[in-house]
Parts: sequence; C-alpha cells; structure tokens
Amino acid sequence: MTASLSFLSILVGTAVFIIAVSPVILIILLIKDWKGNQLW
Amino acid sequence: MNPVNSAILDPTTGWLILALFSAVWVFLGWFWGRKTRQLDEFMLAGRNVGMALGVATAMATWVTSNTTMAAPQLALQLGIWGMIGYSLGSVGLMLFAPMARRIRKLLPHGYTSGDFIRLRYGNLSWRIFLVISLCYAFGWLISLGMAGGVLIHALTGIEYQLGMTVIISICVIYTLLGGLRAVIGTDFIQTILILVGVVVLAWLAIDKVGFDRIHQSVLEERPELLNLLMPAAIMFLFNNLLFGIGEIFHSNVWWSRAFAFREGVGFPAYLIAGLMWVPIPIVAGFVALTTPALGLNVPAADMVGPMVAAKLLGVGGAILVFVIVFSALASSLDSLLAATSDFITQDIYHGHINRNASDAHLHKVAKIVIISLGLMTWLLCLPRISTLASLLYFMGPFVASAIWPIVAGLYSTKANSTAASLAMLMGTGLGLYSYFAIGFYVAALVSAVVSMLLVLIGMWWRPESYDWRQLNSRSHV
Repeated sequence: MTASLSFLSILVGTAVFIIAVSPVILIILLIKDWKGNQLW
Repeated sequence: MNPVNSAILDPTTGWLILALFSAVWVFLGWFWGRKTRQLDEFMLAGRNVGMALGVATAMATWVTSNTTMAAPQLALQLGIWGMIGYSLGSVGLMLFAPMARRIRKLLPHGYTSGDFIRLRYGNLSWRIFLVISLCYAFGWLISLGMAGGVLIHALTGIEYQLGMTVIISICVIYTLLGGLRAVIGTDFIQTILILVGVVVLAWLAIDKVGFDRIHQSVLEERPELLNLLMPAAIMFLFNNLLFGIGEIFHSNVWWSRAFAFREGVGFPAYLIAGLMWVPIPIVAGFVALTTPALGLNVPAADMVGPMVAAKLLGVGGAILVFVIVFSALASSLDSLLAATSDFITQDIYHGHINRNASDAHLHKVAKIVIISLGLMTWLLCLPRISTLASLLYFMGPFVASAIWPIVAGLYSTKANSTAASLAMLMGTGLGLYSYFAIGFYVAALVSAVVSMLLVLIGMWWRPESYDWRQLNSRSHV
C-alpha cells in the first residue's frame, strides 16, 4: 500500500465518520434543548 | 452541449422537488414567525438560541453551493491538498468561537458588526467598514443567486432565470415571514439533509468503487493529484485560510448569530460547527476523484457531484445531490438576506437616515429591506454576467483587511482608531494591487499582513485606553 493510498484512505475514512456522527450529535443536542426548554 | 439535454433529472422532477421544498420552507417560516412582534425576536430570534440550533445554523450557513461544488473542482485541479486547503475554511469558524463569547459579553444589546466598529473606533472606521461589508454581502448574494440558477438548470434543465427566481423568492418569503428564527430553524433541517446526503454519496463511492480502484485510476491518469507536496496547492491553502477568516470575522452573518445565541452557547456552537464542517470539502473532493475510475467525462466541474451520484445510484442519486445543493444554497442565502437586512436597517437607515426611529418602525424597515435585497439580487443575477459571479473571489483583500482591526479592537484597549481606518484602506488597496500584479492567491495574504502591521504600529505609537463599558452603554445608535 503506497503512502498516498494510506493517506487518502485515512483522510476520507475519518471525514466520512465525522459526517456520519454529526447528525446524531445534532439530534441528541436538539432533544436535550427541547427537554430543557432551551431550544430558542 | 445543450445543458437541457445533458441535465440528469427531467424538469418535471425538478419542479416537483422545488415545489415540495418551497412549500415546507414557507410553511415553517410562517409557523415560526407567527408570534414575532418585537425587533429583537425578528432580527436576533429573541437572543436566546440554544446549542443544537446554534451549531446547525453556523454549520449550514458556511456550507454554501461553493463547498459542495467548488471543492470537487479544486480536488480535480490541486489534488489532495485542494481538498485539505478548502477544508481549512473551517479555521475561521473555530477561531470565531472565542470571539463570539466575547462579543456577547461586551455588546449584550448589539445588533450588528457595524455597532461594534462604530462604538469601538468611531464614525470614519465605521463607514469604511460599511463599504467593505456591503460590497462583500452583495458579492456573496449575487454568487449564491447565480449559483442557484446555474445548478438548477444543470441538474434539471429548468431555465436559469426560472430556477434563480424560485430560489431567491423562496428564501425572501420565509425570511420575511419568520425573520432569524425561520432562518435558524430551516438551517437545522437543511444541515441534517446536507450531512446525510454527503455521507450516502461518500459511502456509495467507497462501497461501489473502492479506495484501491479510485487510487489506481488517479495514479494512472492524474498522478500529480496525489502529490503531497504540490506547491500551487500549498500557496492556495494559506490564501484560502485568510480569506475564510476575513469573511467570518467581519461579516454580520456571524456577528448576528453571536448576538442571537443564548449566553454560553456561542463558543461551543462555533467550535463544534467548525469541526463538523472540516470533513465536508474533503468528502466532496474525494467524490470528484472517483471520476477517472468511473470513466466519467465531466463537462463542467459543477457537474462532478451530480454525475458521480447518477452513475452510482441512477436518478435517486441525482435527486440526492439536488437536495444537498438546494439545502446548501438556501441555508446560506436566507442567512445572508437576514444579516444584510439587519446591517442596512441598523447601520445605514438607523445610523444615517433616521436616528430616532422606534423599534416597531425598524421592524417594518427590516422587512422592506429584505424584499429590496431580494429584488436587487434578482435583477443583478438576471443577465447572468459571469464576471459578477466571480465578484466574491475579488473580495479577499477587502475582508482580510478587517481581520486585525476587529481582533485588536475586541481584545485590546490600546487599538487605535486612525490605525484601524488606515489598516482597512491600505490593506484593501495593496491587496488589490497584488491581486492584479501577482495573482489571486496572494491578495488576501498581502492585505492581512499590511493591515496587521498598521494596527500593531498604531497600538505601539499612539495607544488608546478604551473603556469597554462604552460598548455596553451605547450599543444603540
């Protein structure tokens, strides 16, 4: 495996993981704000 | 090539999606705005926005059509560093996090970034800043309006003028009905759509094509894109970083959110939004790198995402990209309309035309300004003059010149008013000179360096001893 392939795989893999968990984090925060009556 | 014939979706599908989204956004705008009576509620969502909506609105606003469309283009031009360089746009959001907390603390009654410059540096700096901010806001509005028309046309074959008119009208209507609350509420839904859409697209590329095949094809056809030491890309990286910081630090789009967020929310919201934004251009760029492996001949860089999606997932993939692009456009356009309206209402109308206007009167003026901005943007976008679309890129030296006056003004009592005015003027002037004499990639850099030197010289030579309480006590004009 070349350095550029490893770099590309790790870079994109990490990026996809962060994007995938982001909506989950946002929805958890939304529910928390909603329950605490702190939405806006 | 006739774009109508080459469009991935047919116009009927395009109209159906547009109609569905338009109905949802307008309904939500009305719903969230139906009880809005006060100016603070309309302009700043009651100054009580919580963490979830705060993160989402900062994130969605910074994901523009450029993020999803220009990042693939840069990946195909500058390779891996193009993707990483674009993702450095998030640094501005993260650096703004501590500033948002300080802005909220120093100006608890503030409305715009102009309020701060006026109270901190006086009228001359304020007026120079107004020109910079308004030029930038119009550049961004026009680029978004034109991108909307062009992308809707490319994806669905719907005429440019019609697509552009629809997207501007929808954003104007729901911003008008619900103010910042409608903008922030819809931003949350748009953020979820963008994130889910991008992750599905990336997953398809990895699953159906694979890293090995993508890497091998790029290595055979465009090996320079995998070069980790590409000099042009590294130059671009620094310029993009400073441009992004300048855009965020000066623009009222971000200041109005700092004022709107509940106390304690600004810092974490901007930091988390920045972290969530980093991977978007990387993944959008990666999708572009699949084109050699898929054997796609892309007619225009804008079409990379849609073509890859259509190849991997058929019509469903094209619809997915349309939803991502529409969400990215609307989330930025609505924010810009609201923030620019606040800026014109407070700094131009209230500050220069009618200093005794009541809050109720300003509320009406803000609504008229939103309609006028929409109309003006529509008129300027109508002829589809390509030079206007690139106006935003020309704004690098303008916005970079404001970075140091803002940072020094927020954190040091010694920052000098005359030096701040000179920093903005000279930074912009020399930045523009270098834009033409050397190239676009140094313009923001030169502007920021000149501006920094002048601000630092001013602080050393004629230090002021500013009283922070002035920001609190005289926030209103």
